[in-house]
Amino acid sequence: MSWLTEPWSHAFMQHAFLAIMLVGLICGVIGVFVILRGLAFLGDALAHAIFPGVVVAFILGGNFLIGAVIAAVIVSFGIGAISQGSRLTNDTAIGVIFAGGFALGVALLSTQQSYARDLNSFLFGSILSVRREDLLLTGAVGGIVLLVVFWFRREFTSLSFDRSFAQSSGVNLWVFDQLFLVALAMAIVISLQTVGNVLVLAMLVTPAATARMLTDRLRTMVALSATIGMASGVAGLYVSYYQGAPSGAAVVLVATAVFVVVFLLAPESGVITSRVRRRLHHGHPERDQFEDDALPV
Amino acid sequence: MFQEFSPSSAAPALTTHQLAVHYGNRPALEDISIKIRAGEVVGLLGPNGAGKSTLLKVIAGMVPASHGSCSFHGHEIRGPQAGITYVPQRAGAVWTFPISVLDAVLLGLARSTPRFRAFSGNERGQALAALRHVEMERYADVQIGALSGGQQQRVFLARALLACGSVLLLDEPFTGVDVPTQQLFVSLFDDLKARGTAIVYATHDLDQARQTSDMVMLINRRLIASGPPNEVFRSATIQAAFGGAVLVIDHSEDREAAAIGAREAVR
Repeated sequence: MSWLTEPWSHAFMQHAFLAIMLVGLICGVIGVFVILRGLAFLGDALAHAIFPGVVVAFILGGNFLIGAVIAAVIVSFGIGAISQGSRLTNDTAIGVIFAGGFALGVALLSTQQSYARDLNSFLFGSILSVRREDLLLTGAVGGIVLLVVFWFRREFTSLSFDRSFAQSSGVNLWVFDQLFLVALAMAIVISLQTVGNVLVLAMLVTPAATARMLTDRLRTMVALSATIGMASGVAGLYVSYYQGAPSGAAVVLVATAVFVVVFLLAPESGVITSRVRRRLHHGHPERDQFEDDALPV
Repeated sequence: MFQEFSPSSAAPALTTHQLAVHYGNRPALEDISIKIRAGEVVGLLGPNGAGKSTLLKVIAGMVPASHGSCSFHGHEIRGPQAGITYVPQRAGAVWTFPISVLDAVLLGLARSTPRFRAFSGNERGQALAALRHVEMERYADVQIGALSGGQQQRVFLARALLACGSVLLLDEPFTGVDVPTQQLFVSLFDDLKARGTAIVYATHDLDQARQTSDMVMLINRRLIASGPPNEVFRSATIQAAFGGAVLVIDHSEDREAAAIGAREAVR
């Protein structure tokens, strides 16, 4: 079993494991609301569009988190302004701002001497360079994100399920949409160092999508999504350590493999499982009698 | 379950005065002045785009008036009110959402339950009682998307019963639901009415409105007519609201109550 403990003997790997577990947990939780609200594209766009904010903070030597949150707020206002004030749909506005913001980030970063190395670490993360201070910051910001999601869980649930009723019961849609975007931007920013700009979407979407196929309960879905996110992260790091694969890619590939397995074999909704069940049912229709009876008229 | 509300015949529960709403430059409602008393069931009729949903949303405090005023027991409505419960159209909800029927109903209490704790046994009991009122108790644990359209509408009503306002606004509650559900709603309306709840609902079904409402209001951006159904449902007013040629067929023997078929002429 020494292969299990061996990676933990290096301080940089301990940091990496802790960082990826934090990212798996935080992205797993907020990712549930991302996929339930159909905001996967927005999540990807946000990851790219906050890039200039991160770069400006990097150039000025300031806190990259603050730069990212400022950029996220500008981006979300921009998307809202374009889609409300014109004939363009929301996803078109997201597309325009997403590409424009990312290009601005690349242009700003190209003014720096260490351009190629920096760009690479922004895009794909550099999990092995996570320091203790980074972990503390990730933990603190992630804690805030989790607290916001927990504290406003009923508002987020209500407006994700039925926006009109949520609004009529006093949930300010604009405020909670902005709050969600800022929380999402914070989750993305703390994931940049571990999985990078390009692959952060997978941490937001894949574990949550996998969890959705396994349950019809929101609480269970959040718990499963966080667990799958953390477990994929840890397993991916082992793969990366022993196979020398880039860590971000390894983590995402593990998460995707889990998704595929569940997609095929989930107890209720799996493609293969439901086919087998139909075949069994074909021979013995009386077995499903209760289900038919219990379901609606 | 239901909030007792003493009907006072003098003061109306809801009043609008010269109410107008604009979406951008486009007027959605103009010069609407109405009064709705406690314990009154009001059917809101008009063609698509007439402003029925907009009027309900103004009363619910979701859409601001651009001119005029809208008040609830004399207090101007500037946002959502605890005493006013809104039941939106079914089509707006995300039915694939991973939530059980019981948890969906509990959202009716979401704003009044302290956020640091989970829903208590008592609150869950209230939600189950609301489900019992709409004959949906045995589906409490079912995922909401597995329900039929009529059952989903019942769950919406249960959620509204739990929120327990003295004014209930329903946007097309009878659209696309089966006859037993319609009958259940009509009998629930009677119960709520007896307890002093004012009910305002939008509908396209003139016959349903005639049977269910104390008052009907025909709107087409402006208020065309309002009053008891038998007074309002005449060819001239229907024509003014819906446009086109109208054929009113009186099916009743005593000619007091008429079932009306309205048909738009081919233009």
